[in-house]
Amino acid sequence: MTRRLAGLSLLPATAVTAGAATHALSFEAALLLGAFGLLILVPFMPGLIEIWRPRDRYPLPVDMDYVKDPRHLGRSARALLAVALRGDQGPAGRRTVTLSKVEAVEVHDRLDVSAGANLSAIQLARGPMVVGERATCDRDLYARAGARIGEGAVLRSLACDGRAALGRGVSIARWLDVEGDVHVGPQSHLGASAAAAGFLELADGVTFERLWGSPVRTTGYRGPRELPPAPAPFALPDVLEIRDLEDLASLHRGDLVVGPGETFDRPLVVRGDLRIETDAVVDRTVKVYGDLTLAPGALLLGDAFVEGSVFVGEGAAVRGCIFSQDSVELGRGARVGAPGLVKSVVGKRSVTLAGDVAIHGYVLTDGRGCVICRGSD
Amino acid sequence: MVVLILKLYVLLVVLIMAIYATRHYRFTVNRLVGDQRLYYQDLIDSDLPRISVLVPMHDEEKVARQSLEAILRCEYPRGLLEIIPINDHSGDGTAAILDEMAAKHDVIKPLHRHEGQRGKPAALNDALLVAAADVIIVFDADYLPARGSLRDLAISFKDPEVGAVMGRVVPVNTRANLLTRLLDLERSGGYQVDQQARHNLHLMPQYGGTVGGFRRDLALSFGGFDQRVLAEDTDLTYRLFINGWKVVYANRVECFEEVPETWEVRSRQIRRWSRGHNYVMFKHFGGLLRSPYLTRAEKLDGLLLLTIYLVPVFLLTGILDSVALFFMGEMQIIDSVLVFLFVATYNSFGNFAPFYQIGTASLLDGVTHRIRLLPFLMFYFLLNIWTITHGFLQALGDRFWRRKRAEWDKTKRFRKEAAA
Repeated sequence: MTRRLAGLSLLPATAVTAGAATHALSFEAALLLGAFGLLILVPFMPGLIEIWRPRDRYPLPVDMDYVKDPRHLGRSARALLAVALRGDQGPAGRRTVTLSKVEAVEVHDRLDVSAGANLSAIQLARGPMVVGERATCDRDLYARAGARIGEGAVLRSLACDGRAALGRGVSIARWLDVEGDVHVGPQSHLGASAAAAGFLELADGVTFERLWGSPVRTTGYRGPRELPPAPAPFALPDVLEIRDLEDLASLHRGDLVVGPGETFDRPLVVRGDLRIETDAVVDRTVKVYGDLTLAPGALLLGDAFVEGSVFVGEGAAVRGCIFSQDSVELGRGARVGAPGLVKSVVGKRSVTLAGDVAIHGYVLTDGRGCVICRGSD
Repeated sequence: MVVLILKLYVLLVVLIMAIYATRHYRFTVNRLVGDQRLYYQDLIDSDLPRISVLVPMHDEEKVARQSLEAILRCEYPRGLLEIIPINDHSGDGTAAILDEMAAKHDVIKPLHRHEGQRGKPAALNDALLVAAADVIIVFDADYLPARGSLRDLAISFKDPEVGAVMGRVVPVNTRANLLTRLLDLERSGGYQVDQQARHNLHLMPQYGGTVGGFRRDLALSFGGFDQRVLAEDTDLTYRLFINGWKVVYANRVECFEEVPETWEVRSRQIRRWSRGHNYVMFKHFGGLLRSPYLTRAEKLDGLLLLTIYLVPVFLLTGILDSVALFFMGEMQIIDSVLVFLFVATYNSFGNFAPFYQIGTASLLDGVTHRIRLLPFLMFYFLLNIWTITHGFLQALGDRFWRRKRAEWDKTKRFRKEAAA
């Protein structure tokens, strides 16, 4: 044993044969070796345990069915409920169903919630739904006809197959999904998502994160405005001529102003701020590294991809999408998109809408979305 | 004189390693606490570009059908979509599968290649000539895209500056063995932290050749893919940036891929990447520095990315250099407390930079127990040092012996017939 240890610890042979003192030394050497080996092993121990008894060996989850759908929440809730109730046409009353967990569903032919009432089960109304002032419901509401939500009501979420009207100061914690048109009263909060197959009209002080409507519009809306027809596809130079960015787009290093009444008909990349003056027209898409400002009456017929913030002045219009890594502010009478098109306004930090604004499609912000009509009407 | 050169070389290697360690930390900190730029998938737009989806296939009968079915399930307006699976000199049943699928689905238009050079760049070049769309999306034959992938990738080309887009690949066969689990960790670090941080910081995200797309006109104007290059994706990335275009990264556009299950196959793959990447380095080094379109930060990041497959070569030669100096009794390189502190600090933090990055990626992905395998990556890195150095030597040969073409080495598939 001593010889083996001596061999391992590379002790001189004389030390092995030098009596008790050497025995002690060899033991120390063995201890040292053992400790060294242990310390080498220690970092690998958790991994060895993971290999021996795996707890996390599956692939990262990828949702193979994920498709961007602004009405996903409402549609999936309806589908879940439909499966759980399996076409239940029985009399009104309380049922117990299994959704993501076991839930109580109260089925009504017509639902009238009195003012100040507090509901704690899912409510399904086969007919109209009326929720009184300051009523609260901490489970989902589903109206298969129209819905009227009273002032100050606090709801978790609302699906509605008809038209919906939300009074002043209604607060929705999660989502709103409506098959028809929606009027949202002043100072209401729309949770993570509010979507309507028809128009979605927002009054002053409404706050939101995601909106979908045809169109999304704000108080004072004066109807669609005629935009010039979409420009013909950009005449691309011959394939072999498109090599540098500047073969396809105009590149400006620094700030740029498109003067009043001017027209610009090439894709535009601006490594600074871009200001499109009153009655100026930019026919194509712009990419702006600074801020983008459309003065009152200015027109952008393409999309706007902006690293800074975007301000669309009174009566100005963008036919395409607005995408900002900062904030977006749409002034009174601004228009985004056009009837028959679906376009988006995305402002990472905030989206602010004034009165008489219309967006044909989708609005999203990771920060604060709000409607501020006062002072703009 | 020789000793002085050896000592200076050690210092150079230490400096290079410190720069790359700093880069790892910069990216990791950005992902943990920095400003995160949005990608374009949140845009909903009724005007989408017409796209051609190219899927190069060589002897892919195990995976061809499943891959095409996954692409067919994708939600994209059928009038704006064509799928071109490229049968690249297959000797198995791939051609029959493609023809059978084409008979059932109008959007599938197979391209059969029986002549000319084999390999992905040559296959893509032929397909570019028959593709009808302005935007090309590329998937490898073993990839399974999610239903929203095509739309989420194609939408980025609304930005006039975008020349290419890259999504995220996620290993699907992680359960197979230790190697696949280590590759899963490496992929997480590479995409969740590295690529996304470069996107956030306006640097140079890399087009990875699959789960991504590019503008057809641009690829054609560059003369198509260079058939001498084994890293045609990196080559395209640099051509685009140098000419003023951008590559954007789409972290949420995820796609399953199969990773090698044996060390031998992985070594061959890494060697091929190293050979191709280093060839690209020789090719674009000057152009990158001279480009009038790039910012200083982009040039620096581009340079570090361009030389990344050179780092293991420096490391290996640095270790050999140190050993030589040790036996020559010349280990006292610089007599300074500052240098001692620098080396001690590097040992404490610098060595752990890639592990920190990968651990952070796992945290962001919401997985926990797999980070217990992090120390095992050390063995994987050791393998990489050798194989990458080998690939570098091959790239030197390609460059200075002016080889006309590189032999394409297809990565072996491990998917079982039953699964396909």
